[in-house]
Amino acid sequence: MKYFETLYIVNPNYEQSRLDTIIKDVEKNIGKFSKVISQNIWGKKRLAYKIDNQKYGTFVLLNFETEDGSGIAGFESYMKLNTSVLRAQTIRLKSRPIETVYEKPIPLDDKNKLKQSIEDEGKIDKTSEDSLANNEGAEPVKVESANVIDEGDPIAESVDTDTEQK
Amino acid sequence: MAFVSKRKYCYFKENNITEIDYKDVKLLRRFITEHGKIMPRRVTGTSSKMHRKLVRAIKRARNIALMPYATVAGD
Repeated sequence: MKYFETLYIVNPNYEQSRLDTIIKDVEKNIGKFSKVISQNIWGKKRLAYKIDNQKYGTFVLLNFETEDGSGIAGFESYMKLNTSVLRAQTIRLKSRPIETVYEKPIPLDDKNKLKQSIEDEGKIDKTSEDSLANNEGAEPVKVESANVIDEGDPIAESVDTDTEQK
Repeated sequence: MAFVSKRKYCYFKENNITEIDYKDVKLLRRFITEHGKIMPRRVTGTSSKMHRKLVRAIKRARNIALMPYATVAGD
């Protein structure tokens, strides 16, 4: 059994439904000659350099296994011709992949909870290295400051009520 | 001798790392310069075997836009 891993970047401007159809199409194409082990959607990430004038991209990691690697060439050409996929890279793995998550996908509800951890890991490095990457780095800071204001507000209100009571 | 150089060691041997994953950008960033160039072995002290694996991992990460190709400062 041979194990492979494909990491591909989908155009970030697509809405969720279109993204889902693209992911399903890719999975369908892979299913013709192999079995999908796991799929991991990393979400929208900043690219290290522009691809097709896009600064961001939605990363999807796909692990699959085949008896022989005969369908890989066809799959790679399919990915290359797929215009909604900015770039794809297929790599042969030495052993069956363990389902490790390097970049957790961020659900919209838990975004605020995870923001801190992501900031610690990646965004600080990025902002320090690329001064242009301020767009992403600036957002969480704003949220943080907003949180501080939120925390501050009840105190201000209580002070107000106190003064009113006096 | 007045100047004492810092001892160089193979990072991967010290940490018992045998395989390098191209998706582990945080680790790979240690071994590139600020312009994105791969640092030579004589600077990092990485063993020959692991350096070859490291170079492959960095080039894979570059291809999929996780890491930058070498850039001129100011770009």
